[in-house]
Amino acid sequence: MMINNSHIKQNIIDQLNWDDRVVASDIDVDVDQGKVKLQGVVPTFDARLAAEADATIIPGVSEVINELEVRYSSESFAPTNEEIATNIRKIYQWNSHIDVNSLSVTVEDGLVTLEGAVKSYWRKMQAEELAQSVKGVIKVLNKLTVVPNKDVVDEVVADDIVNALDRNQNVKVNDIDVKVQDGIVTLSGQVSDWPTRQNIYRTALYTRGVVDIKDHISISL
Amino acid sequence: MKDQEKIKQDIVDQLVWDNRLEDVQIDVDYNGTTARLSGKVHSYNVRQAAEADALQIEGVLSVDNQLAVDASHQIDAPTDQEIQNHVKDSIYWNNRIDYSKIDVVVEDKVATLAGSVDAFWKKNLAADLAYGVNGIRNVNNKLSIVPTRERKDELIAKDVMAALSRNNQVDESRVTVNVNDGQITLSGAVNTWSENNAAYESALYAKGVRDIKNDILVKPV
Repeated sequence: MMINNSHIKQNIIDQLNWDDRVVASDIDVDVDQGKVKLQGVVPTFDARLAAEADATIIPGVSEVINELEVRYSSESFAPTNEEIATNIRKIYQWNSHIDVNSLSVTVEDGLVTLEGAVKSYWRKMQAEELAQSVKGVIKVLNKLTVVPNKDVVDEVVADDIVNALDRNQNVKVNDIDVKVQDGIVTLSGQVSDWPTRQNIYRTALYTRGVVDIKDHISISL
Repeated sequence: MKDQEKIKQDIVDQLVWDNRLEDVQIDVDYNGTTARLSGKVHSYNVRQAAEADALQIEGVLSVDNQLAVDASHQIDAPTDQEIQNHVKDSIYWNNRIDYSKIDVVVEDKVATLAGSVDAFWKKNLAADLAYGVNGIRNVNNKLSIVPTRERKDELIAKDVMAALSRNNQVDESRVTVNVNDGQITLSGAVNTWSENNAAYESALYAKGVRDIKNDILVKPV
């Protein structure tokens, strides 16, 4: 299937216009050989992620570079740094998976820095996601370290990921390479679409003993 | 062709693999199409994670999720009043939802959301935020949808169909879209659960949607 740049671009613009979560007119779309660049301004961090997700599902897209800037509109209520930090802490406290006592949250000009330790990588990512959705947050710097309760041998982590991929009906791949060293997972290989890539990433994400994930899987068109 | 015992074992293995599911006792039954999950888990998010895990397994076409959420064994389990405050604050501090028209009442660890939001996806988001709160057993989502701008059914249907055809994850030829008073009914069949989910999202974030009934079946061809 041959798809040209302007066709992909039009599809992305249509998708952004369709999406109730974003304001398409504030977003610039640039496409070069399946590589998409998003620029402009969005009102929230979640809108930034939504725009990126919109671009990734368009046929012919192999990569999305998200340069969208989060800028709260002046009329909307802007919380202070202290309020933002307090609210992120509160949301962690009520979340059943995150131990707020082991982390620190600092906020400067809407930029959130997370530090401290969590016991799994998916908790680290969940802490980031929860912070991103809080009013006033412009960016999250995730410096959390992952310290698993139990040490899991690298070979076992790799086996767990490979077996989970085998069980998954939404991932039909044979040539994905999974390497684990000191709990750091490196995924490489080629898949044909984004959801497959996302499913592979999620499989690694929820595996015991994972400390970090380097996702080098590429989309072959 | 996998036999029934093997599929059941795959579901069990998937639940054991998932790092989010710690200290849980889940019973698994499989009748050839449907996986039945029963037992107790400590949070609603864990309940949903178990369901998502089962849906990944080849041979599972639907899940009968009978898992009960029971947080009562927790030390310092939150009271109804505390849960209610936490749900309110979670919604209030989210950057996407206008809290002013939402009312939250928690009774016997079940949250009832009443009032209105301006989009169906925000109704879902409000419930998701409530589900994320520690101690909650269930959410009764009675929010009504009052769109800021009315959109004709024909336009909504056109938007959703165009979004389906742009989406590289969905074979739109097998999906039918009907819209009546802003209520979308999706029917037909798709190959996998992730395709089903992608089709649902193509409706979810369209403008003017009041409700979605997803009757799409998973039927691999």
